[in-house]
Amino acid sequence: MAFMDKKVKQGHTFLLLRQTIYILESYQDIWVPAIIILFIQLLVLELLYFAPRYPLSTFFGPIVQTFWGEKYLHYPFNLIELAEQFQLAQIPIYIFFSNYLMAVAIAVITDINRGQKIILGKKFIETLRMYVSISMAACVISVSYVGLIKLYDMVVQQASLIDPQKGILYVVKMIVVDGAPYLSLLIGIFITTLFAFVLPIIVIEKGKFFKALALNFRMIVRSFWLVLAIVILAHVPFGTILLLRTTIVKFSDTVFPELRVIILVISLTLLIVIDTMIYTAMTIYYLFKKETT
Amino acid sequence: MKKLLVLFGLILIGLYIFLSEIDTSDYKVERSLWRVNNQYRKLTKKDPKFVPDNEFERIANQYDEIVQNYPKAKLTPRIYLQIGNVYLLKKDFTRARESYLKIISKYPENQELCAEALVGTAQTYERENNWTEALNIYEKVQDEYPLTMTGLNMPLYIASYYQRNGDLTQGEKAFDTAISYYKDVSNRYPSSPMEFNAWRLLATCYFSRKNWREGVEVLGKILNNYPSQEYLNSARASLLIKFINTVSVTQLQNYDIPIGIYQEFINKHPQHPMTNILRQMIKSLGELKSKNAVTNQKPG
Repeated sequence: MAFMDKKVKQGHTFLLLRQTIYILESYQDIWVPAIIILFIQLLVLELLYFAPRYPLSTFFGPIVQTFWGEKYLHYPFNLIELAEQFQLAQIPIYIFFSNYLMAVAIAVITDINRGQKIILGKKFIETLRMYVSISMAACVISVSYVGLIKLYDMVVQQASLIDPQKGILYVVKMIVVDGAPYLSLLIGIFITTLFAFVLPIIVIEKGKFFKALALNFRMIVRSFWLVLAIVILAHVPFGTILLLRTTIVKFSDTVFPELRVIILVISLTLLIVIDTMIYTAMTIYYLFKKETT
Repeated sequence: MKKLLVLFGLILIGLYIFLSEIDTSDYKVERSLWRVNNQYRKLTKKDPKFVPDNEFERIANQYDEIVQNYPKAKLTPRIYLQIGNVYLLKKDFTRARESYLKIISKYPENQELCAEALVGTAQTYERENNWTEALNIYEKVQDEYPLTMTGLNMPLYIASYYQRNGDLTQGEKAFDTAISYYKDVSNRYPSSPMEFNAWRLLATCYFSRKNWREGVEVLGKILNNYPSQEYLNSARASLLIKFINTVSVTQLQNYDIPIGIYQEFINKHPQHPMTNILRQMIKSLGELKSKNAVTNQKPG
């Protein structure tokens, strides 16, 4: 198999990344599940975008009014809350669809490694047999992420009560409060790293969730820095989008509120690419480790 | 993969166009109006003397275009008001009056809007230094639209005008009239939004005349009689409490008045979410009172 000819040694992050990019360029079938995930996300985003407008407002209107208020049924406030509404919708999408589709991509990579012909339809059906384990993995990852974010929110609340207007405590307060989007990204990176091998192991070993979780942690203990480096490097382009979002958004609200939606669409597209890269890299690395031990 | 991308792209674009076309809500009006309102807001920050005439015309025309495109939208009546405001800003008082009067002929059933349109007309006379005509219209608004917020504000507005222009005699008379007017309204419409608004304006009248005690007492009545979220959301409540405290402590040097108000609130509404905050407030005021008493007793 082309990508298994070059041995990926422990710590050769850039070699692994290079091979990941090579595989993604050479085998376009890997992208099909990712494109489906992106389509589902953009479809949901589009429905939420039209939620305050007739005819969707007949269903969504009372929900938005109850949880966000009447104001958010009107332009441009509906766009300001769109990201938060979409984040909530993302949770069931992630648990029921995204993780499963990523697992299909991993199954495709596994077949490529074995030199087998890729029949996508067959991969979708085969991966469906592991749906319960895949969904459990998605639940655990979501709960861990949301849990850490809630913990961080509590820290932000405490930090905002800090009184000093200068000094080290003030600096800490500014980092915690103003750095929220970036610290949230770091939390995401940490969670991704912590559970990086769960999905590949479920698919490759066709195993149950708890076994995969245990094996995942064993892999992480051995290759934590490599995995962290891959995840961080993959997220670098997203960091620039985040910077754009935090600097431009306040200006756009007074001039062009739709810019928030455009940045959200770009973020979603970029995140799909990042996730595909990470899972491809982790799958390649796991397959290599499996073959060499 | 390319076919899939094209297919999904077409579905998303098709859905966007479809949902945009079947939308019969006011969303498109809101969007167009927001952009023009933004331009209008920028205009209000500039000195009208240095703004070219065609800038005003351009914005008025854009408002007019929205009215022509969406004549039956709920927001359309207010757009006529905005057109009048643009000409008012431009100091084209004749055209401003025309726009305002159009509202009264087109939407006579919309009391609040008609009252605002008349006030707009009055402001054109006021800016022409024709206070007599302006006053006639303000009094007309008060008489013909007494149950609108605009109408209710008129006595205070008239009194404030005299105060701003240094006419103390007329100002005193106008404040007296305003105070009895608001007391009368609150008596005629007990436990209603009218009473709530009349009390708010009554408190403003008292504070404008530096009748601190009476003002604080009215604020206390508002707090105790209108505790629900509908009248007293958290922002309003904070402001009210801050005002009561500041005036009582700085102007009246009296800690017992706010303590009495908050104690009455706690007794009347023991389950209200604000009671804990008010208990803390009573404690803090009590401590301040003791501290102040000790300071006053110290020799020298």
